[in-house]
Formats: sequence, C-alpha cells, structure tokens
Amino acid sequence: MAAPGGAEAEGVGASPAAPPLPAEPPAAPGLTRGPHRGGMAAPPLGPAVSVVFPGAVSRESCCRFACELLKHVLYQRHQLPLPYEQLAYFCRRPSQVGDMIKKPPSVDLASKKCQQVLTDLEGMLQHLEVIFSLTLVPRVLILLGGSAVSPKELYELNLEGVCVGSTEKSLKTTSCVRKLFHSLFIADVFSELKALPAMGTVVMLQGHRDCGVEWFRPKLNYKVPTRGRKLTVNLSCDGDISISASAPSSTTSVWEDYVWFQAPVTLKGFHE
Amino acid sequence: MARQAVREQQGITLRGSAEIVAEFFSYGINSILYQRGIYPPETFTRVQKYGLTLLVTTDPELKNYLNNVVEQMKEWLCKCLVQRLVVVISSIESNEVLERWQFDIECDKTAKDETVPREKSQKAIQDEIRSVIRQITATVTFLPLLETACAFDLLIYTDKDMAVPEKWEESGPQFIANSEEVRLRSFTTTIHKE
Repeated sequence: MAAPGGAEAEGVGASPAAPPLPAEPPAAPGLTRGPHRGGMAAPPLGPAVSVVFPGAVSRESCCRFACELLKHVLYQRHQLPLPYEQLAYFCRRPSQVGDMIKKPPSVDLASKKCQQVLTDLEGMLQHLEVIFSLTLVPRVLILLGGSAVSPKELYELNLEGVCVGSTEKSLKTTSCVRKLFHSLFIADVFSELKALPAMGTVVMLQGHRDCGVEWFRPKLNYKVPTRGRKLTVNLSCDGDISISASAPSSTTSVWEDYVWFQAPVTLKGFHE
Repeated sequence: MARQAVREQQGITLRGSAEIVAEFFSYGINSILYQRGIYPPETFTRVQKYGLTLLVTTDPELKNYLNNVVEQMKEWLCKCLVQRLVVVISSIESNEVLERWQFDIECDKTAKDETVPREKSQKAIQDEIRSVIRQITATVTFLPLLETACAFDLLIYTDKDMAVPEKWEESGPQFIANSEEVRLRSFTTTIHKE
C-alpha cells in the first residue's frame, strides 16, 4: 500500500510561561524512569516504542497523544468492537428504515453497554483535557483488566522527554499524532496478542500535587505494577528547541512534587 | 463418519482456501472503502465476521460489483491463476492516484493434485485474517485524510496467457511516484498465502 506522507514540521520554540520539565539525564534506549526518583531506573518489562518529534510539542498535543492512545488501545485490545469515533457514529445514529423495532435481549444489552462506555469514555476524554491544562503530565498509564495494582496489561505513555511549547511555536498536533501512530503501526505491537475478553480499563496519570484537579483522585502510595504484559511508548523531542524556555531544569527535586492520580471511572469494555 | 467430518472441518482444500481468500477480499475491500471514506459512512452496516465487527456496504450497485469480482476471484484462485489484487484510490477530479492497496497472493499449485485436505484450523486462519483487518483499520490513525472525492478501481494480476473475461479490461499498474509505503501482515491457508 502506498500513500503520500511525511510529517509537517513547523517552527520550534517554547513559551516562557510553561514550567520547565524536571531535569533528567539523557535517556539510553530502553530505559524508563520511575516517578519521584532521580537517577536511572530499571529497564522496561516489555516492548517499548520510542518516538522522537523534530521540535517542541504543545500541551494540547500531549493531551491528544494520551486520548488517542487510550482509544486505540481499547479498540486494538478488543474492549471496543469498533474504533471510538466509528462506534459513536453507529451507536448513536437514528434507527434506519428496516431496523428491527424490538431487538433481542442480547442486542439490546450490547447497545446499553455501548452507550455506557461511550458516555464514560467521553467524560474521561474531557477530564483528560482539563488535567493536561492544569499540569504537566509526565506519565499516563492505561491498565487493562485485573486491578490498578495488578492489571493484565499495562500501556504506559512516557512524556518525560517531551519539550512543551506554546501552540504557535510547537509542531502541529495532527502531524505528531500521525507520527506516533505510524511508529506504533510499524512496531506491530498488537497483532501477536491473544484476543481479550471484555474487561475494565483504568487510567492513571502523574500530575503536580497542587494542580487543583478535582475529578482525578490522588493515589499517593501508588506504584507502577511490575507484573502483567507492558508496552511503553516513549515520546521525546529533538531538533532546534529554545533552551531558555523548554529544556529541563537542573533540579531533580521537581519530580517529587508529582503524584499519581486515578480516574474515578473504570471503562467497561464490551463485545457485540 | 464423525471423524471424517471433523477432519474436513480442520482441513483446507484448494476450493476451501479459494473461498476463504475471496471472502477476505470482500471484507477487506469493504473495510478500505469505509476507512478511507470512499463511500459515505451511512451507506455501511455492521456485520460480525472473524470475531470482529466489520462494516460492509449496503449500496446495491457496489454490492453487486464486489460480488461479481469476488466470484471471479474465487474461480481464478481455485485454478491458481491470480497473483495480486490491488485497490487503487484516485481523485475523481484530477484522476491522480492517491493510494494503492496491494495484496500479493502466492498459490501452492501442488494443491491442485492433492486429495487429502491440508491441516490448518479455521480458527488459526481466522486469527491471522483478523490481524490483517485490524491493521487496515489502524492505518487511518496515521494516513493523511483524503480531502477530495475519490473513486476506486480493482486491479487483478493474473497469469499472462489468461483470457480477459468480458466486462474486464487490461490496465497498467497505476503506480504512485515518490510514494511512502507501509507493509501489512499476511495470512496463509497453507495453499494460498496473502
């Protein structure tokens, strides 16, 4: 299959108003960083996909990365029968001529589950927008099945390496999202996995302890699970980025102010 | 008799393989047409296949066209005459070829002479096909939007000496210059590898 393509890179830079990311030593391939800790962390427990953007990205882009990855994981891991936007279209369109007026119980139940997960997911996406506007979010976890401390599968979005800039001086969000998913596609991280039954999905993310977010609940003692299948998606920025505005600061103590927050809603997957 | 019935369920014959592959093309082409917005979403309906929810057209003309192509494909696949199927997506206004979805087919011709079905479970084949279909869906996350109204053509590469059926015509490959390519996964029935 051939298609024209290529990421569009615009000017780079960063807003002086954006708080700098905590200082981190340069990452060696395959290494991840734990929360609240300086120095080097243990290697990731599973595959990792690294994406390097050729410039700064905006906070809105960071939020989009998290939202799109969540939707993508839910579909690829069989928690939604269709990608989110397509599911919303088909589940919410008015009944077509010829549709059954009375549906069998199984179809009606699936329809109710569909409506519920769409509502919950829409709420989740809106609240993700809020928290990303309140604080830098260095890590997002998507936890499938089991519990938040012992999931079946864990998808981690690592944003520690990104340089956050203003919308005007950052790369276009659509280009960055395409680059992210192109990398995921090439890595082919989902095809070998067995189909999953319908299960719950929990979302956790790190944010500043004083960011003032209300919907997400702080989990001060949370530790990233070490069991279960894990995929880490590492995002970082390269290229000509204004050092004064977006480079990490030299103090690692800033990480200590970041705590884990958990979404109060578990997204319930369903099969048709 | 029971043992034979089970073995036939598990075994793949040339005809059975041709049906599986032709059916895949039917669903695969429908998926491409939906995912790339070649036809409006309201002209598609949901069906269950390969353990997935797939979208297939309800447009009677398109359905008829695809059914005819699939039936022809089945016949050619049975005779191991087809090597490739290509979905070409072009701008209606400029005729520029924008995308090209190429499915290469390898046929094990020794299967023509076999009397015993080959052993590969339907489930295993279905799992592989499911991965391919999911990848087709996943491509929309990074492919550029097709912002112009588009049409599609189907090109089928066959053996050189084969007669061109009525209502078909010979065509060039309709390549894209300076294109970017991504590779999808493949599946195999042990007789046809796609």
